Amino acid sequence: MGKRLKASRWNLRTRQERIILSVIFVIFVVYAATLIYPFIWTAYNSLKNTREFNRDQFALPAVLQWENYEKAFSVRVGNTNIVGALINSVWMTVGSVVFSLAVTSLTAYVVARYKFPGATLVYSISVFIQTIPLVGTMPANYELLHMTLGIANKPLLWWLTWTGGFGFSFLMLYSAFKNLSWNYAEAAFIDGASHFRVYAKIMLPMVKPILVAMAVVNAISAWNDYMTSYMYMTDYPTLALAVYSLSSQASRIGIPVYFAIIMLTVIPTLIVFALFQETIMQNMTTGGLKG
Amino acid sequence: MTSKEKRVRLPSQKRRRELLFVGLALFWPIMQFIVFWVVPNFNSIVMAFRVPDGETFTIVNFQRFFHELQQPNSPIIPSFWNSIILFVVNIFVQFPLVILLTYVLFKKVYGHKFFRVIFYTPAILGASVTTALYRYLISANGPVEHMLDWMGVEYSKQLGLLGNPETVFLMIVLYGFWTGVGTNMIMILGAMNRVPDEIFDSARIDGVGFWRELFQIILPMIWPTLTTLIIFSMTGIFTNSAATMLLAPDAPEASTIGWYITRFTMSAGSGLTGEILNYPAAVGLIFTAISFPLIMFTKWLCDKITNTVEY
Repeated sequence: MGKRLKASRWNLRTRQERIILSVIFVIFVVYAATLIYPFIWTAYNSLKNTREFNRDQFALPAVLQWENYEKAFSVRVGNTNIVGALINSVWMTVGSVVFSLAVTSLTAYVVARYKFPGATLVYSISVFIQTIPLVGTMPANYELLHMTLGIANKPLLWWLTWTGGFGFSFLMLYSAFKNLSWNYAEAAFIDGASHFRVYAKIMLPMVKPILVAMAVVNAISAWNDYMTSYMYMTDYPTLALAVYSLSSQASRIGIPVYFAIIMLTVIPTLIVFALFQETIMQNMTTGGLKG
Repeated sequence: MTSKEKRVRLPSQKRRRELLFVGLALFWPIMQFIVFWVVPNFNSIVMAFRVPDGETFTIVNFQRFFHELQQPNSPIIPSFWNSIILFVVNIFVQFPLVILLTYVLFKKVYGHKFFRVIFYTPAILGASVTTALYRYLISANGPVEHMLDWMGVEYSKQLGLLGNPETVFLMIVLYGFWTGVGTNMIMILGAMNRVPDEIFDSARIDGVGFWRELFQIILPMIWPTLTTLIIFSMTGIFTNSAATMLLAPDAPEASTIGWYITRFTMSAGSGLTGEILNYPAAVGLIFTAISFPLIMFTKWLCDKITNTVEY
C-alpha cells in the first residue's frame, strides 16, 4: 500500500523534477556518508590498541579493547578525571534545564495570558534582545561573574544564571500558551482554584509536548556546552570541554582512548535524541519559529 | 446599596489578586534579567570608556584600537575579514543551498526522513565533538588526504591542512559548511510544511514546475522565517568564535573578531598578562556599532520585501 503510494508520487513528477531529485539524492547520500563515516570510524577505532591504530586507521580492530573505556575514565582533565567531568556534565545539564524551564514557562504563561501594564513591552523586549548583536558583553560578563558577584566556580550559586525567563524557550512557550483555549481555566477559576493552581494543574500540562521538546533541545545544548566551563566554571570541566582540552594531548593519552572519551560524550545525547527525535522534529517544524 | 458596593469591589479584588500573581511570577525573571543582562550590557559600555582604577571618562581604549589597526601585523584586520568571509559564505552560498536541499526534502525525496535526522546530527553532537571528528578527517593520513591524493590534488603535506597558514582558514570555512546544514534546514522545513496544501494543488493543476514552485510560491510564503534566520545569522557575525577556538586557536590566519575578543578577555581576566578587560569591551562596542545599523537596515529591507510579496 505504502509502496504503491510512493510509486504513484514518483510517477506524478515531471521528467525535469525527477532528474533534479535524482541528482540531489546522490548529493544527499554523499553528504550523509561524510557525517556517518567519521562517527563509525571513531567508534571502532576507540576499540583498538594504539599500535594497531597507528598501523592501520581503516582496518577493523582485531580484538575489541574494551579496557580503553576503563582507561578513559581515569584520564585527568583539569583537577578531576573523566568520571568527574561526566558528573559535572550531568548536574549542569539537569540543573540548567530544570531551573530555566521552571522560570521560563511561568514567565511565558503570565506574559501570554494576563493583561497587565507593560505586558506587550516585556514581550517586545524579549524579541528585541534576540536580534541585537552584542559583541562586547563578554568582558563585562567576565567581570560580573568572576569579580563583582563572584559566582564563577561556585556550583551552589551558579544556578542563578540559569533562572532567566526570557530566552529562546520563552518565545516558543509564549506562542504555545497564547494559542491555548481559556475554557478549562475559566471553569477552574469558577470552582475557586488559585492562579498558580490553574497554571500548574491545567495550563502547563497542555503545553507538555513543547515543554518536552524544549527540555530535550536545552539539555542537548547544555550537555554540549564547553564555553561555560571554559570561561566561568574552570574547576568543573564538563565532558564537552574535556573533548576539547584533551584534543592536543590525544597522542599522549592514546588516540583510541581519546576516541573512547568522545564516544562517552556523544552516546547519552544520541540516546536522548533517538528517543525524542520525533517530538523534537514535530515541534521544531510545525509549531516552530514564526517570522 | 451594599450589593452595589459588593459588585464594584469584587472585580477589583479579583484584579488585585491577578496582579499579585503576575507580580510574584515576574519578580524573579525581571530581577534576573536586570542583574545578568541589563547590568553587564550597560557596564560593557561604561567599561569601554574607562581604564581600571581610573574614575574618569577616557577614550584611550578606542585610541589603542585605531592605533593597533595601523600596525602592519595587526590581528584585527585579518580577524575582521575572516568574520566577514564566514558571514558572506554562510548567507550567500550556504543559505541558498540549504533552502534548495530543504525544498528537495520537502518534496519527500526517497529516504527524506532518514536524511532529515542525519543532517541534524552535527547539532546534536555539539561543536567540541564535531571539531574533534573533523580534525581526524583532515589529519595526516586521514580520509581527506587519501581522497585528495586519489584526485591528484597537489598541496604541501608537511604542516597538515590545519597547520598550514594557507589552508587553515579554508578548513574552517569548510567545517562550517559541513556541519551547518541541519539547524537551518529544520527551521526552513517547518516553514515549508506550514504552507497550505491547497496552494500546491492548484499550482500543480496550473502546471507550475519545480523551480517556479520554489521561487514563486515557496520562497514568498516562507520569507518571514527566512528573514528571522538571516537576522539571527547577522547577530553572530562578530561573535562567532567556536570553529576557530576549537580547530585553530593559535593561527592568526584563522582568527575572527569573536575569537579575538574571547581570547583577549580570557588573558586579561586571568590577571597574568597585565592586560585589561576594558580594551576588549571597547573593541566589542565598536563592532556592535558597526553591525547594529546593518541589522536594522537588513530587517527593514526584509520587511519591505515581505510587504511587496503580500499573498
